[in-house]
Amino acid sequence: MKNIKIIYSLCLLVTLSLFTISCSDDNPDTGVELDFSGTFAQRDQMGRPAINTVFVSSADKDVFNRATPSTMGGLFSQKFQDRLLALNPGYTTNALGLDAATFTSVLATDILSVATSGKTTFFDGTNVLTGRALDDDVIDVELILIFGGPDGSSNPGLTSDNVSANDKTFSSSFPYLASPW
Amino acid sequence: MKKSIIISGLFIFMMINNLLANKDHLVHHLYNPYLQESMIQEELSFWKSKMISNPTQVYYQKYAACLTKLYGVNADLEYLFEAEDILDMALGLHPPQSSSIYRSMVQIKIKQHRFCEALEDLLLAEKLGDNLNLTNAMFFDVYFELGKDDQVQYYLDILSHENDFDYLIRLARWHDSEGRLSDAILKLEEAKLMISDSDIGKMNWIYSNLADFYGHDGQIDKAFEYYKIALQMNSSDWYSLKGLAWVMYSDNRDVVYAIEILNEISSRYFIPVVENLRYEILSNFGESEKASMVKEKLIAKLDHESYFSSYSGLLFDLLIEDPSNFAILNNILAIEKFNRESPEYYAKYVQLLLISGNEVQARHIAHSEVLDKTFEPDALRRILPAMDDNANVYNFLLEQLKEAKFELGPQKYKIIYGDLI
Amino acid sequence: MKLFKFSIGIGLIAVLSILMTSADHIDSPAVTSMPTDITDYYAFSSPENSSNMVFVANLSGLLTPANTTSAGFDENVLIEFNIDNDGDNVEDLVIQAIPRDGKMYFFGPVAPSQTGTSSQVQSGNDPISVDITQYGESAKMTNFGGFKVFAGPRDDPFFFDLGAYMDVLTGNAGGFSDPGTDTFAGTNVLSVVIELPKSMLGNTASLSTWVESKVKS
Repeated sequence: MKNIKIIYSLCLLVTLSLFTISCSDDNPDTGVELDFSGTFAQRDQMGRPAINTVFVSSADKDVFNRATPSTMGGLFSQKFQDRLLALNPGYTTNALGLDAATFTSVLATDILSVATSGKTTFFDGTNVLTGRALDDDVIDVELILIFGGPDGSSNPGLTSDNVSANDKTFSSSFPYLASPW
Repeated sequence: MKKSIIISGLFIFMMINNLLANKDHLVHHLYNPYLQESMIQEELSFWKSKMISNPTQVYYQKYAACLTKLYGVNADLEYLFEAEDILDMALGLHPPQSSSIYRSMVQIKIKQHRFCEALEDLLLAEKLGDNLNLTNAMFFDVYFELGKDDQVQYYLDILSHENDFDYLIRLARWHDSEGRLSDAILKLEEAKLMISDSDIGKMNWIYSNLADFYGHDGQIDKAFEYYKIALQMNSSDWYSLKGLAWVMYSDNRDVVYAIEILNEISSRYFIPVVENLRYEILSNFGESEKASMVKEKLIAKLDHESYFSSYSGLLFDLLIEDPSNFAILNNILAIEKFNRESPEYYAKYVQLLLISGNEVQARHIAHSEVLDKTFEPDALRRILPAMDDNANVYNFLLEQLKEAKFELGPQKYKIIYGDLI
Repeated sequence: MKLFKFSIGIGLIAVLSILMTSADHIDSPAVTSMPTDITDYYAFSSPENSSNMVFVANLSGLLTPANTTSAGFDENVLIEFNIDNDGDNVEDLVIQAIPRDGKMYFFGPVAPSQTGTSSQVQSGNDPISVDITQYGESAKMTNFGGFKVFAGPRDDPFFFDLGAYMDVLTGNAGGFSDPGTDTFAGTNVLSVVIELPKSMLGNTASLSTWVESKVKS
C-alpha cells in the first residue's frame, strides 16, 4: 500500500511539473515570494452535514471540532448512541437497516464518503452516501434515519423540516453555487 | 438635515485627508464616515424582519449584535439596553445550545461596566462548554476589571496555550497594569502582525489602542501617527478622533484644532467622554461660561440611574465639584461598588470622605485599599489630599504623578500641582 | 516604560508604576465571530465533466448582503481538504487553500508532510491561485489544465429550518412546522470551490473526505 502511495505521489509531482512547463499562464505562481511558513493547528472540521448540530453536546463541541476522524469513533460512538436514543427512545433500526450502535458508530467518524464513479448523492432513494451534492436535502435524510424507523414512516412530524430546496437556483457551471444576495 | 450631515461628513473626510497628507500611501483606505453606520442599519433591518416573521434564537442574536455594533459607532447606551432586552427574549425561547448568546450578553455588560453581572453570564457560558477559549478570554477581561489578580493569572496561563491574538492583547493589558509598558507595547505590536489585512475592524482597534500606549509612554508623535492610521481604517471612529484631540490638548500642541476635532464628533454624535473633554479644555482655558453650559448638558443627559454604571467616573468628577451633590455621589459610588469593588472605586470613596470632612477614615481607606493596590494615576491623584499627614508618601506620590503628565492632562495636573509648577 | 523602586517608610519597598490602563481604554474586540467556522462541506461529481470531482467548503455563515462586502478570508486560516483512499480515516492527500493579498493559493493534491491536527503548508509545490472574487463582481476562476478554483462570497446553499429544529430538540415543539422556514434564506457564506480530475485523487472506487480549518500558531 505504502509503495503505491509513493509511486502515486511521484506521478503527481511529474504531472504538476509537466503543467508548469506546458503552460506559462500566471499559474502556477512561481514568481511571487510569499510566506506560508508556520504550523497550523486545527480549529474546526466537517465531513457529513449537521452531525455536529444534531449529535455533539455543547460541552463536547471543542473536542469534536479539534479531533481527527481516526480518533472520533473511540471518543464519540457511545455519546452519539446515547444522544440518538434520547432523541428517539423508540429507535430500533432505520431505513438503512442499522441498529443504534452500528448507525452511531458510522456517524461518529465524521467523514463524507464519495464514489469516484456514478452518481454522487447523500441519498436519492437508490444511492446511499456516495457524496453530497448542493441540492441534496440532507436534513430530511438525517431526520428519516433518526426518527423514521425501519421503513422511514414512523414519527411523520419529525422526518422532514419541510424545507426541500435552496432559495436560489444553483448554476450548472463552475463554481456551481449561486451568486451572493 | 441630511445635507448638513453630508457636508460635515465631507469636512471630516477632508480634514483627515489633510492630517494624512504626508502619508499618501495609506490614504486610499479611507472611506465615507457614514458608510459603516448605514451598513449596520441595513443589517439591522435585515435581521429584524427575519426575527419578526420567524422568531428564532439565532435571529435575535444577530439583531442584538447589530445593536451592539451601533453602540460602538455612536456610544448611545439605548442600543445596549435594547440589545440586552432582545437577548433576554431570545433566552426565553428555549435553553441555548451554544454559549455564544451568553458571551454576547457579557459583552453588553462589560461595555456598561456591569462586571459582576457579566461574571454570572460567563459562568453559564462556561457550563455549556463550547468555544471555551473565547469564554476564557472574557473571564480574563472581567477578572482584570475586578482586580482579581489570581484569577487573571490563571486565565492568562490558560490563554497562553493558544499564543494567538486574543492572548497577546490580554497579555499586553496585563503587562501594562504591572507597569511594564514597553513589554505591553511589544505584545500589542506582535498581536498587530497577526491580524489579517482584510480585518479592518481589528486593525482599527489595535492602532487606536497602540496609540494610547505610545501616548502613555511619552511617544507622542508615534501616538499621533497611530491614531491617524486607525482613522484611515475607520474615519468615523470617535475614539481615535478623541485620542487625536487629546494629543493636541494634553501635549499643548494646538488646542483650537483639538476643539475643532471635538466639534466634528459632536456634529454627528453626543458622546459623553467627548463632551467631558470639551468641558475640561474649555475650563482649562478660562472659558467658564461655555464650559458650564457643556457641563450642564452633560449632567442632564447622564443623570439617569441606568447611565450610572457606564459613566460613574465621569459623573463623579463632574458632580464632586459641587459638594451639595453628596447624596447622588453616594448613589453613584454604591452602584460602582456593586459593579466593581476595585482600588479605583475606593479612591473615589476616599475623595467623598474627604469632602464630608471624614479625614481619618479617608486616610485609613486610602492606605488599606488604594495605596500599593493600583498604580493608576487617576486613582492616585484622588487619594493624594488624604496623604498629607505623611510627607514621605505625599511627596512620593507627587513625584510619581509628574510622570503621568500626559495621561492626566493639563487640567488635573494643574489641580495637583497648583502653585508648585 | 516607567517602573519605579522607592521606599516608603521603614522597610516597606513599593514598586510603583504610573500608567493609565482601563480607565479610558476600550474593551477588547468582540470574540464572537470566527473566521475558522466551517458551515458546510460538499463533494460531488462535476455536472460539467463526469471525470472531474468538485469540493466545496463554506465558512463564515449568516452574512447579510450588507456585511458581505466587508467579510473576508483570514490569512492566518488554512482551509485543508483531506482525502483518504484506504479507509483508515487518515488523510493520504490534502489540498490546501490559504489567502494572501487578495488571492487564494491552492497547494496539492499532495501527500501531507504530517497528518492530523497540525499542518504545514506544502509550499514545496507550486500553487495555483485565483483572485478572490469581491462582493458584486462576477465569479472569477482559474482553470489550469482542468484544475479549477474559486474563492469568494456566494449564496449559502444550505437549507434547513434551524429554528424549528431547536424547538424540537429542546422540547418546545412536538414536530416541524409545515411549511418550514429556511433559516439561511437570503444569507451568504464565503466559499472555496475546487474542481479537479478524479485521476488526481488516488484512483480508488470510493474515497473519504473531510475539511478542516487550521489557524497559524
